[in-house]
Amino acid sequence: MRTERKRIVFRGVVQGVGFRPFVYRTALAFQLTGFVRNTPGGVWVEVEGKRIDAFIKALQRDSPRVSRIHGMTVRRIQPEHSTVFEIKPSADDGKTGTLVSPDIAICPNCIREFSDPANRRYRYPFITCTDCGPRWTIIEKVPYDRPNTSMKIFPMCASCRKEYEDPADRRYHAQPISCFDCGPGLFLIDASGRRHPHPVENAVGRLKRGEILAVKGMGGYHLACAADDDAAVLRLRRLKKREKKPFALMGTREMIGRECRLTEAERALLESAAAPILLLRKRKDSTVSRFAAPGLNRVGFMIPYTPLHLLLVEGTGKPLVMTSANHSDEPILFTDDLGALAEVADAVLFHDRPIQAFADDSVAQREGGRTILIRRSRGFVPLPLQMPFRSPQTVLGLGGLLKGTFAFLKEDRALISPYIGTLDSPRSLDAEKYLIDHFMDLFALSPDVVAIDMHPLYPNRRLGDMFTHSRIREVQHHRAHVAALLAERKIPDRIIGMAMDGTGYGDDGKIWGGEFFVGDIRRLDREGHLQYVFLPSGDLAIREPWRFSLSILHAIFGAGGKTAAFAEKFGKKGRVLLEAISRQAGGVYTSSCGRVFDGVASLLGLGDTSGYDGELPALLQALAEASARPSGYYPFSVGREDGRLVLNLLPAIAGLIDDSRGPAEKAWMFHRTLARGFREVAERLRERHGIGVVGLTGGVFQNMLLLKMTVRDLRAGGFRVLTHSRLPANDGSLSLGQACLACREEPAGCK
Amino acid sequence: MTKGKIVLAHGGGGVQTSRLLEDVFLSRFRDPLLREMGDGAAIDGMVFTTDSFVIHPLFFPGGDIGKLAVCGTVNDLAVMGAQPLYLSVAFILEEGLEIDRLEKIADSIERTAAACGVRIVTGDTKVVEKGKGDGLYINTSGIGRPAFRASPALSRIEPGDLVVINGPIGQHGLAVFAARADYGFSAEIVSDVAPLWPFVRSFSDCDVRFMRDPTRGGMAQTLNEIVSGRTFGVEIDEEEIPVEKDVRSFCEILGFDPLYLPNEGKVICVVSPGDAPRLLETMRRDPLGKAARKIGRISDRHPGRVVLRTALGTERIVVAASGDLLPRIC
Repeated sequence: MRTERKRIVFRGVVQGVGFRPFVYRTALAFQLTGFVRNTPGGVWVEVEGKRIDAFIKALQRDSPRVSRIHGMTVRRIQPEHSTVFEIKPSADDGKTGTLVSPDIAICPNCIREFSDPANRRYRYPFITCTDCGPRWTIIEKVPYDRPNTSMKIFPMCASCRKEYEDPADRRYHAQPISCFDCGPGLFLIDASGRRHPHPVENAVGRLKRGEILAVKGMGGYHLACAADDDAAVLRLRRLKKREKKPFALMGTREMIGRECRLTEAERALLESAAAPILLLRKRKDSTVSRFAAPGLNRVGFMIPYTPLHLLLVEGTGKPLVMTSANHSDEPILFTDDLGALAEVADAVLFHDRPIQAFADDSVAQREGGRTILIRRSRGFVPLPLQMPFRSPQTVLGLGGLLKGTFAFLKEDRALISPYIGTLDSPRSLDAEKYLIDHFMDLFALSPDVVAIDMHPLYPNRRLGDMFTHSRIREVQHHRAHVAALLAERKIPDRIIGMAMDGTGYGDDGKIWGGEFFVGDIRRLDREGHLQYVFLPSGDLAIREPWRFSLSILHAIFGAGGKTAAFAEKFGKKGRVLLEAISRQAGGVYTSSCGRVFDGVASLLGLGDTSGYDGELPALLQALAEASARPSGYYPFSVGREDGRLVLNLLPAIAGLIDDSRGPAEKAWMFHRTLARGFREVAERLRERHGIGVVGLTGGVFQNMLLLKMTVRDLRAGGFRVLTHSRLPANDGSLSLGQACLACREEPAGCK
Repeated sequence: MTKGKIVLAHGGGGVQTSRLLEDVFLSRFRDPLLREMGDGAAIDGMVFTTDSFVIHPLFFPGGDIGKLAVCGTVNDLAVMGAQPLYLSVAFILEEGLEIDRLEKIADSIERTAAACGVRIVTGDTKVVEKGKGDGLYINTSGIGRPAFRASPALSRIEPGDLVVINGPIGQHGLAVFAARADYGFSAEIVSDVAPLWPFVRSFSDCDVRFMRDPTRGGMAQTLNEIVSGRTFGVEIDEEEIPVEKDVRSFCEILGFDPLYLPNEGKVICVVSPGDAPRLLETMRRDPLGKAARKIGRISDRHPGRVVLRTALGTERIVVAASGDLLPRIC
């Protein structure tokens, strides 16, 4: 073997993830000389020696757990007879091809040191290394070097600097490196503004006494309390103005194992680098307060993913509620607004390491051997998604109203923001604007096109006004859902796209939400929908689903009999509303599938009102899962109207009402019927268009029971089925779909 | 791309209306006076405005299409700070309309005009075939003379100014909705339709920066018009907004938001903070202003936005109304 020299440039998530020390160690192992250096265009490696190809293979095989190599170029160059391998300082080559790493949960090595009384970082709240710790949330600009992060205000002590500069050390160039001597300070103040010594011990004492604590974490503040304390949990609900929506929980793996049934895959996902909140089946003897997730058979748990969280959870010795600090559905608080925090907590535990960009916790679920994301945020953001096409323009999708995110599309990559919240308050819109600016600075982005939802009442449409030099494009809500699925799954072909969700403004001014499309990421034609039913009362019918139940009854039985009897349950309100429904006045027509779920749940007695988005459907799913699982399904029809297929579920609901089985069996049969109906529509569309691939998207498909049944039915019918995996099925993915379709609408189009 | 067809929402006063005006009319009718988009135009020391009235049913609790047709135009002049002087009235009558009903409407027009001292000086009548009109349509145009020391104008609004309304909102929209069917509460909700002149004259010496009547699209629409594209916004307090008990309870039943319901006897005033107490005091001496309230303030915290501080203490953005009762949430 001859000595040669090669230049290798790695692109992807290769900075801030221990990639350079890894290259350094590997180069030494293969007895190569040369250098490695960070540039804004990627990690640049030059190596000289005899076993370069084996070295490259080893780099690809053993790269650090959180790095992602998206591309690599290798060129043979003239040997320079170098004698050592070195890590050179970062260089600026004027390009930005590198990506910022997401935040990473504390790694096993750091946990070991953290737990070792002999270690100088024993119980240190900010212990990190090149394998773990904050990244996205502390970075101000690229390249990822300490002076460009929140850590620039903490000069390293001699011991830390020694580790930082030693290529053989596992903290070599770990930008957030620090210790008790030189790192951020930790403080605790109570609601009256008094500062207390021993912040961790004080905080743990408060949690044990049932107090509510605001805690500054990685991507923002949490509100914490003991999860087994009913009074504390209820008080937290009042303070957060959140009536029933489930709270996230935090516990060690042992604690979680005692509270929930855990598979190996679930355990691995909990302890993954992203450490999301994972929805788990609660054990019957769980100690978690029933007010944490009222009426649900699942709870959301995450592990203590920072050393500070570890101190709190281990100190308290039991699971904690750990919910983002904000009023319900607003963006997570991430600035040290101690006054605002003291209004919702008995004490605030915080540190002086600034958070540059917020990131709420991600939420995931394991189902059918796959991981399903419900919220893609901390731990994933800002990892890009590879697109199945190249966009000649930079496109910004502003998202919708609920579960707001935005997405930038540039060339063949998409960058999706963390979860922001419901975009109808000044705070959430300002937060969206703040993060858009941060993305534009960080990734050198400037949108040529800005995509917004068609709904005239979504407040974030107006953010488009910020971009006076961009073209504004409206994209229909459910087309954006299907496009997001196609983009995520990198499908360039035509498919049958089913978008089942709550509400979205349609081309015809009606409210859509049970839509069948045929097309590709360029163009999606609406080929079918659920039967239009009158939806009275606007948003109120969504908070009070009995209203839609009444309208369903009216559509099936007319105004008398069963309908009048149901209305009577609500007294004058019911009578007046029935009169409005009879005249189809004071409302709009909707083809929403989510509303049908609401309506059926309410008819089955699961509740007349909905405390949070998707509450009644979640209860309906839980009810169905507790049934004896009868076979068969209720009757439905597929007709044709204005050239489109119309799936009419009203006969099924009539069948359900007349069915003598118990509510759980009815709930099960209802799920079965929908799956069967979807298959029927898919078969009709296959006949007409010759397409055998079906994509399932929209918030309704977060119902795992319905998803499983639908996938099974469609596969039995010979279809290939596409579902989401790396993006949520809900409105959190709208922004990406908007960007994809808006780019396609441009005269230049996309390749 | 096809330009589509006219849908009802184009007439709803919301974003679709604005877009239609912009795309079809303002792009062609380029007169600078029209550009100002006031309720009327100030010409040669006078103020000129026009409005058309299509309403079903023709009679509703508190009024009828005739009273509405006079008030609509009189109020547009009044909120420009002008004394209404002359009106034109044009009728499009549908074949089959009972003359009895037409006489009642004409009486109502005469009474309302007399009450605010405006003269009907010209008019027109056309008849269309049965089925081509909703009983009758009326157009009125009006001429008035500026009566305020400094004419109210959007350009005079400043952060720190206060926002005042002369009484409870939502009555007209709900009364008309209720009159279309037997909801069992038609009698309880009465339209607020009333001429705002001479009421407005009573506070013509207050430093009123801007006035507008929150008709189509309701208060939400009017407030958005005030702040759209400006460096300031408006904050309103949910608990301060006057809504009558019956209106509130029927809104709660039907899912209507009073902020979006049209009014026909209300004026939203933006007033300098120093003059606000005097304005309120003056308003409250008149039956039309008995329940006058300060509802919010102009603020530079939220440029271009209407922000509602809810009773819960949270803040919500109020967007301009669209035609229908559209759900947004999932």
